[in-house]
Amino acid sequence: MWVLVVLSLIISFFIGLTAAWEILGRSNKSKGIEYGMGTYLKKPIEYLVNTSRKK
Amino acid sequence: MVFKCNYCGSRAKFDIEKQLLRCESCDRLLLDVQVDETEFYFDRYHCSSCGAGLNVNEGEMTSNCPYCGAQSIIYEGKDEEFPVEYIVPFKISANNAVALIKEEFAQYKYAPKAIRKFDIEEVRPVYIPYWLTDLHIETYQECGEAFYTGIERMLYLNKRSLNADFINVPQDGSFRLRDSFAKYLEPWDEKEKIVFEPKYLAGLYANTLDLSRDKAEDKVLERAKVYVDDIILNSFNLENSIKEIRKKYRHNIEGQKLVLMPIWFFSSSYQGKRYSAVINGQTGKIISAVPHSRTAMATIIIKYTAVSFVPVMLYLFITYLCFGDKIDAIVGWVLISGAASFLMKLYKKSIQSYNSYKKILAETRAESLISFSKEQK
Repeated sequence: MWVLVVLSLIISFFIGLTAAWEILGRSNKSKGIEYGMGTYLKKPIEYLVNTSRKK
Repeated sequence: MVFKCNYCGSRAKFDIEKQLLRCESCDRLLLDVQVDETEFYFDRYHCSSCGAGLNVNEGEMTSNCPYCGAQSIIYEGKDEEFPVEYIVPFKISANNAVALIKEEFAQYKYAPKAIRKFDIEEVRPVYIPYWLTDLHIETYQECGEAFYTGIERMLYLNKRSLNADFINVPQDGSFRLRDSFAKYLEPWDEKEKIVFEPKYLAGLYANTLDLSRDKAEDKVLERAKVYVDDIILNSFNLENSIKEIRKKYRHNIEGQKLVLMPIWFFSSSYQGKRYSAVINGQTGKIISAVPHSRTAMATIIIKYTAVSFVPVMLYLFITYLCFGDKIDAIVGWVLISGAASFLMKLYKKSIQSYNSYKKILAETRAESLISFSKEQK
């Protein structure tokens, strides 16, 4: 039983730590700062897909 | 070059709110100013007003005279080394910029109170030269794919070709502003650019151009390659791919112009460490990151540890019970692998978020960025 309790505590602490990283990481910096190259597309990209079977 | 008031002869500065020159002494808005042609082409190291020697910070194209206080624009309009064609004037005034930054910092609820209600130590409007590039890129990529159907081994060759046209891709031309940080400030609305005139720099600061046309082209091309590669990569089934992707590119630069973009730089300090924030002077977009308080970190950890403790223990108990006989043991292993997979995903996502924050925080503390907001020597 004690093993279960200790294991639960370790896993819960891990969840708490990752939650803190996630929350602090998100909330202490400006939002939406990443900006993609797709914004500068003059027109939709022309994209051709072709798959051929090798003999 | 110094702009002087037509009425009293005092120095004039560019008024961001009115988008006109304003006399520093009589406060008149000036539609027309005195510009002595003989002062237009001036010695780079002497004040164009009183002739005293100037201390010019590296990389800057404006400087204030330590004797008479006049600002000199250390730029010759016809200099081929700096072929600036356009400028996007500041739309965000100093008061607006300060209000925006205070509002932004007040929202950082996990930052120490001293930061949320900080005093701005230095604020500085700076024009940064940006290359705007129009680029056409074509790429052909192929990748082998193999998988076993149970009867035979299937081999396929996946081919992809992609054409893309990019317009006005910005690339900052100042070495002091890191490329990654300059990208955060995007987007710029280049439609608001106007033909450059030195009067727009009066009373403001501007950086010289460090990046040549060719170097800017290379950087934009690299950025475009990363973008198209990513699109193509996502279309391949990489689990079955047997060979590396073969790539061919062709590109053409269809236009390139140099534009001065307006940026507000702020700096402040907390516990002896300086940090900065930056605002896009056209759109008001803010880039900043601040340290979090240890108390906030501890509170979140304790809260989530406490909330998850009972469910985790229940989960582990059920898993433990599953190992009572052989059939249920399979369920037990499924539960263990499910939990491991969940925790791994949680770790990856959170560490990514935290590292991104740390990266921006480190960049806001970079001396090269902070130096933008410092007063001139």
